Amino acid sequence: MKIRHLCQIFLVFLILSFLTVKSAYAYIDPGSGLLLWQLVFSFFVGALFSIKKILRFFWRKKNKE
Amino acid sequence: MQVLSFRDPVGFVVRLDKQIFRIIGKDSCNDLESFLSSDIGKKLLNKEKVIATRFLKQPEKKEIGYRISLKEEEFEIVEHKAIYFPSYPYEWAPEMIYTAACLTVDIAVDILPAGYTLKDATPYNIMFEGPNPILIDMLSFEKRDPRDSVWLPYGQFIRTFTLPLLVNKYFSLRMPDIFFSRRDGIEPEDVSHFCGSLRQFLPPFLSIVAIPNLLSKIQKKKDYGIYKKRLEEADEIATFILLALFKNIRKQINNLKPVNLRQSIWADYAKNNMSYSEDGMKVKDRIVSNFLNEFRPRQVLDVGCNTGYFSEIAAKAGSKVVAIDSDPVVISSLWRKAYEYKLDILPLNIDLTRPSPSIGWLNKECESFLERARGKFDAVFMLAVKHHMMVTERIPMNEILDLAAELTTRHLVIEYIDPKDQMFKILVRGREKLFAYLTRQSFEKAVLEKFNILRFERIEGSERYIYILSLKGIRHD
Repeated sequence: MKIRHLCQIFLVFLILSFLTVKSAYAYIDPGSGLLLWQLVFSFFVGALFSIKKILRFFWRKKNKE
Repeated sequence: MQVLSFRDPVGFVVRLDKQIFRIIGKDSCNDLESFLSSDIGKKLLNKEKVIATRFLKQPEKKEIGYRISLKEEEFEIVEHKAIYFPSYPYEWAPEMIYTAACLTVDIAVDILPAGYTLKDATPYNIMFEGPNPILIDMLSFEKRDPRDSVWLPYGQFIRTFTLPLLVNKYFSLRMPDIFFSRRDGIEPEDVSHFCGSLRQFLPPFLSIVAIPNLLSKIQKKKDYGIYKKRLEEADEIATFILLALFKNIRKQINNLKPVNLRQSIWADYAKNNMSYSEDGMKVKDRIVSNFLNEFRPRQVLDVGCNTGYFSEIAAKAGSKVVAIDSDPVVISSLWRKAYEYKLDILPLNIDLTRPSPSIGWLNKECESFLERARGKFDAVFMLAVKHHMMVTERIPMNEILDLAAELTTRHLVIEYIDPKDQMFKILVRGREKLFAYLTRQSFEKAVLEKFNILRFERIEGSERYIYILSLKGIRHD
């Protein structure tokens, strides 16, 4: 029980530390965040494409049987 | 000659008299040439979604090249149809940013199957002809690698379209607030400061504010790896990913579509207007309509257009109208009306007493409002606006008339409002002494410096007079 509580507290602190992050650099690459987000998006949509393809393959196989 | 666009190293745009030419390096014009002759290129040109463009042939090319002092063997020259009145995002209503955003994404989707992509996506690549947006940067079109699933202008699109619409909708920031100080739109980090710590983690802020903001902080400095080209295994995967991305962007902007909350108040403005009786409004309507029928001005500038009542009358009489007002709400509703009813009106959020300056590199990138407007109009309307300029903004009467004489090439339709008028008294707020000099005689004396009085008429039941003036020394050609 105690360990669970400690984990919860740690998690709350972790989230709070994220929320209060302030940029300390005079310069960060401003476009990089949106580009990275697009790459993450592309990764998941690409994965979705592959899953769809696999499902379609099985679906056809099943239909043929 | 005036250079209008120079950021793209591939080519630049110049204006010679009233014509617009784009000079393109010989190696860089293949994409444009093939795009213009493609089916999708022709379709977009026909629908006037992109600016009409043609490659110059000899001897025209030689002549224009000579005028711009270019070695013609190194360049190709294209001519673009000139936009009647160029305008910039800081003068637009949010609705106009929204419709420009829709046009950009729709074009990106339409050209994808033909193997093209847009290399830029910013409102500066869009201009308005009347209320309709047109893509003007023809060098944005380029052939894409069929396996490339990254849309490079994604970040630019979010910064210059999506986030401005977001902060307008949730924090009432207007387009001038955003685009005057930030050429390339608003960063997710800036928006996160508006949202506060918790709200940015909720939709719709999460995916376009909080996550990109956190990702850019996590991103190691000097790690250029993310900018390396990533190619998918097959063309169809890349197309699938890009279409999903465009669908996502379109959904985001659809959710941020500006809502005209004050529509009902302004829709009845003319009726609720205490300055005129119903008959008075009819008189004003008749005077303006008669003027339009008699002189048929091709272009009209309606200063302080308000709901656009007179802009609408002028547009219906066949004039090209630029309507300006300092109130963004009326510009929004007038744009909606013009767009819906296909009226040739370009509504812009401009205060004539504080017009848009020329800004950008060397203060030459975007011309000031006055540089664009001088001598561009056959007629200028200043209806129920002069007293606002004189009293609220304290601009001297003769200065207002001098400016009107620079803006119009022929006529000025101006309303004289006497200090005895109820609205005038409200605006003066006890400073009557300042306007003791103002009488109809002193007004007419000031008018006669630059104009001839063709006629004037009193609006019955009020202390208001409408004057039809013609500029002294106009050429009747």
